[in-house]
Amino acid sequence: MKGIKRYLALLSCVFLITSIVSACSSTSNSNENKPSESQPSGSQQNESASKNDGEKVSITFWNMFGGGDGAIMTEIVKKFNEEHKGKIEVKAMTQDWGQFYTKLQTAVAGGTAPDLAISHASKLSELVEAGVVVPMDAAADANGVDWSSFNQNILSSTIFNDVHYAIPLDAHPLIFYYNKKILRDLNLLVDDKPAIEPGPDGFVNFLKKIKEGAPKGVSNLGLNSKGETPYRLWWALYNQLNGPEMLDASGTKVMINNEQGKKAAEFLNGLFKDGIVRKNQENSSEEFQAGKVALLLDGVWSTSSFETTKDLEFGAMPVPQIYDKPATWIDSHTFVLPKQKKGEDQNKINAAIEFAKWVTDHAAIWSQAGHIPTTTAAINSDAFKEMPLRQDYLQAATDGAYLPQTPKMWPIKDQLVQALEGIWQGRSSVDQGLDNAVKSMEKLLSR
Amino acid sequence: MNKAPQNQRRKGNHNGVAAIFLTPYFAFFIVFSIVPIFYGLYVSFHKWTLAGKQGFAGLDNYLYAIKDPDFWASLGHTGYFVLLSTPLLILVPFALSLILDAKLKGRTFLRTVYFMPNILSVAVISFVWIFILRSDGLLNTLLREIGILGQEQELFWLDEPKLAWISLVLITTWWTQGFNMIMFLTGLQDIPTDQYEAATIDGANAWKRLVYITLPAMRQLLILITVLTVIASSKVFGQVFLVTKGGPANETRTIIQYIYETGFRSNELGLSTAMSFMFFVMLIVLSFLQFKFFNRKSDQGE
Repeated sequence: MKGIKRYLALLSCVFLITSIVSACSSTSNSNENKPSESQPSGSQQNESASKNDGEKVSITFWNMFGGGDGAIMTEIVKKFNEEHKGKIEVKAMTQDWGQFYTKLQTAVAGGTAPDLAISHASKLSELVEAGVVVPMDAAADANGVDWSSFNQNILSSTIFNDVHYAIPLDAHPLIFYYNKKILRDLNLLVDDKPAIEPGPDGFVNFLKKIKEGAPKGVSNLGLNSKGETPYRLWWALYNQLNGPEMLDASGTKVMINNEQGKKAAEFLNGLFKDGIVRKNQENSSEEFQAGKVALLLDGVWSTSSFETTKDLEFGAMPVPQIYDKPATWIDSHTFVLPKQKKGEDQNKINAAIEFAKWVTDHAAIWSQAGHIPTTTAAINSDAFKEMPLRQDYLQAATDGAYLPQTPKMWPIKDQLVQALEGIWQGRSSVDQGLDNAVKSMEKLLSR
Repeated sequence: MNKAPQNQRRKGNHNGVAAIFLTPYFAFFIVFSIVPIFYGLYVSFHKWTLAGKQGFAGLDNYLYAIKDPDFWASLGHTGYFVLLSTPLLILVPFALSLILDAKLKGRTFLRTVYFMPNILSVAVISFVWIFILRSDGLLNTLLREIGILGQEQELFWLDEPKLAWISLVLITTWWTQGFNMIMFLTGLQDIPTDQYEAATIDGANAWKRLVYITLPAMRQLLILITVLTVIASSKVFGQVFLVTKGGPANETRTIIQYIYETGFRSNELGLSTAMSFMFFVMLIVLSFLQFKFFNRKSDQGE
């Protein structure tokens, strides 16, 4: 009896261990093993290789769109699948935003990459350098992608050494929102636009007028003194001043500690230091939504949530031109083809490009989320023209200044944000702050 | 037949059964702890990114880390946090356990209340505290209400290095002291009550009972909890990362956060693994020294 019990216990242990081990080892192949409902059973890999045009191609598409963006992308994918029934099926998978690029890179390394993925334009350099994404000139040409139909400013952020690595889906610049009701009550609204006088003084005067006249509990400008937004505005002003490239030709020297960098930082710092703009407004978007902020600097992605806010009468426009030329901070979502370590499947690549092309041409749907379409077809479509507000800030996509192409862009940007924050928070002078920024960025670049 | 061999056999049986029950644990332990540690050592000698191995680097990663001022600054921040938080994480729960061990009305309820934060996840407590500590948050409003702050004054709890550290230590104490408190409570309940009775009859007051009965009886437990707390505090990451993001200006960036950023933001997994190993060795040395220090003291005492 005892012997049997012991044997059983041992057996169950062995069973447990083997199941764990096999579970671990099988994850790497799970993509191939997963039966696809749409395809006839049998060896999928072989079948897709010998597939003719009549058969259905199924592709996986990874994105990081949460919230409103996610709902709209789901709708787009659904619509595409309906229109291409029996030909292409796109299986969209939304990965957690914080882990997205880690997962994408490890999936590529492990040979389980999706057929199509989204990348930020500012992250592309890193993915290109690491060999995570592949060039798409040939595939794009074969599938009738017309590069000249794209907004060239947006497109330029996706070209590396004359090679196209991505199809830009949108542009999402930093723009300027204003509460019409508050401005109208103060007589600061002319032709439905804020009556800002030119130059830095004009802008400051405008803020002062709101500060003096606005009812209690209403602030003039929703601009946090921490985090990304003040850095984005600094970058906008730096480019309005025609500041030189962020990095030198070698990509290891940071060039921002110059006259323009200082001038932009001093202007912004003055807003906080002189008490024109309240410091530490952690939730300025929510406060704008609640009608407690007259002006707001935020990305275009806030448009859709503002639109659905009851009793919020607002307008949107590019970041005001304070200096020599219009410019703003900008980034894009782009479609990329991740590298397939286990071999490429031309049918899947074609299907992926076809989907990307379809979405960019139908980007009017996508711009419900506030984003700016990238192709002339989408911009000239009636669906897009009928949408309010987007026309008002459309120009920002052309005037926006993309971050430079360097594989270390994201980590050095983190350092820049931190160093600039030191200035806004009064811990370091403008000179010290920029000096700190250059030092910590160059440290990462020299690695 | 004598009894000895039978006993032996039974003992052997017990070991066999124990082995069976321990096997699943060891399987996990080996697969998810031991193997990764040695694999990590291998990684630390290479240039390694998320895309995999990029080439042999020898000692480069270690040499770079040694010369990296940010590495040492982050290590300093972690050390600072340990120094600030450990005394609080021992004194507060110890005092609470003494109070809650007394015959108090509703002490079970109070024990639950003090332990409660411990069951919350780091994300929950971090966001609760962000809302409390924001410049327009509960704490500043409260301080204004009771007149400590002027009407127009506000304290930036998370934006000035000193205040940020105070906030982080308070959050951590509030969050994790419950565990130590329960440990102390079990320790207190193990002390036989007749010792206290005898001492009371001999005229010892509460203070003397604490110093001469409670503390000596709790010595082993105190050592254990000190060591555990130091290790736990050294590994601080989540609440700092979520509440201050290491700011202002990297002033509260801990070593774990720096290792994480190096690995997953800068995509330098080899370098970050090397840093982890340096930190790992430091923790081992620290724990070893602590045990040695406490043991020597006990030798002298006996």
